[in-house]
Amino acid sequence: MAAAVTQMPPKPDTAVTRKELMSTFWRQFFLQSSWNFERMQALGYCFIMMPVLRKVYQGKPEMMKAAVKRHLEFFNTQPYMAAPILGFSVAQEEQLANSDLAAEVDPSSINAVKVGLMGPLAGVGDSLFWLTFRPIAFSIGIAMAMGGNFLGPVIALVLFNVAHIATRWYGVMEGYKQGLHLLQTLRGGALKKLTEGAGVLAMSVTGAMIASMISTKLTAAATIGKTVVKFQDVLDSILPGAVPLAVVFLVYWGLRKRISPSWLLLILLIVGVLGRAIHFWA
Amino acid sequence: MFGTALLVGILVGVIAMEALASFQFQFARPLVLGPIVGLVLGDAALGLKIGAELELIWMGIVGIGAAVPPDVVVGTGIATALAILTHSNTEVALALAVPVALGAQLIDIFVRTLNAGLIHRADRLADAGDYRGIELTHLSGLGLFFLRGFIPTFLAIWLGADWVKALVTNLPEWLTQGLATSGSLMAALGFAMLIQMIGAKKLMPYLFLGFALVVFLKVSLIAVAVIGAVFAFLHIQFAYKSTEEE
Repeated sequence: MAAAVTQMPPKPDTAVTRKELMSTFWRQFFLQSSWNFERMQALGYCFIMMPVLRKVYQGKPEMMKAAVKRHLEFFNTQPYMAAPILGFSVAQEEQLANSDLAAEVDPSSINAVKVGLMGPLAGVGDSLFWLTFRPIAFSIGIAMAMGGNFLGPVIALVLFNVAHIATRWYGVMEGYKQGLHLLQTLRGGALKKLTEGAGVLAMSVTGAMIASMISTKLTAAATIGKTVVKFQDVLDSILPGAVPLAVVFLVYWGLRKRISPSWLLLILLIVGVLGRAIHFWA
Repeated sequence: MFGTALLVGILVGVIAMEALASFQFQFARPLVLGPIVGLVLGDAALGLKIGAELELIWMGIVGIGAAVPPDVVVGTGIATALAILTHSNTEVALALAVPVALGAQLIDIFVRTLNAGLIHRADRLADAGDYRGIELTHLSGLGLFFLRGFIPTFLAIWLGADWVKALVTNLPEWLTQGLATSGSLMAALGFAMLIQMIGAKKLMPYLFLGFALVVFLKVSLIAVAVIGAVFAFLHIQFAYKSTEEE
């Protein structure tokens, strides 16, 4: 008869499952709920990592505490681009928790990755989302809304949020799966190319908007002998849209001279009202 | 007016929570918030129009890094609501929105400064091992963001509507016409800011490309976006070709 087999207590399951990945996905929408000047998105990052940390560090309270404190350190990036970094952190914490030799995974590398990626990804994210996707989506929406079409805002939201949600979803999932590989891709020239490509697109659309959305025209005219010469007609025969373009570049020049946007807005307000009053433009 | 002020205040407060502290689906942008406020107050069409105009001016207003931009949410909310409630027009809304957004920006900075208290509390909770507490502390930040939207909006509408109405009915015609011109000009700021932020001088030719396409070929905005995307691909190929061949 065999000796009674001693029952070993079941090892707690410390693997990251779809459940933890989904909670990371959902929680990341609250990354900035406690945004402050001191450590910016740090508390949010910690909040998002909590379910994962609880799972992987079960039965290891000291490691859990270290991990929590680890993720309370300064962090800030474009909110949607936090996704791949989060995915990667999840993978790293899982590795750290489950490695038999603690020396295999260096805990400080987790924050090193965060710090190394948050800057470049912020640059790409700002470029892609705030300077390209949003202006494009919303300029299409504005054009429709100016015509009284309520679908304008709807289209703008749909167009923008497809890119937004896709980034947040694939960021977390791929960041987790690909980990190191993704890191290398991101560090390479891919980011720079992406930013520049986005810049080309953004510039083209901005130029188009200048031409189509500023409707100011000169109303001034000069009388030479018996002919009335309207300045706007003269301009239109050379370069239609010259007035909007000139105004934009004047304002741009003002910005370069470090005049604050608020002042510029005020100047435009006054110049607009006065110019209209003296029949210079409308 | 109290009930209306409360209603619009809560609406703007909720959207203010979405603007930065959660989701960020861009419901906080004028193009979306304008019509929503309009819908709630019974003049969605005017709300849509104001929203579109404000979106143009503020197209370049972006929060990058630690920079706190003028408060587009409260600016849009108050301006749209007051314009509708006083039965006036887009020009009035534009004139109101700008100073309001600047004032509300200060409140935004204040809130983000106060929030530092939350992370300090989280530090203490981490030492004590109270992880649930950390999560709740983080989420409590939403409350301040709600208030920064609610309080100014509620006060402006409750106290301001009658005052603004009196002002508006006495506006001379040259001023209202002038404001319409200004509104068109102010969009130039939005575009100039975008250009400045995109930054790369070598990309300027593409600005003229988009401009020329519309001015001479009368092409639609979506067409320019597609053509621009094509140029983006080509640009990357040519610009980086030399470095790859090395």
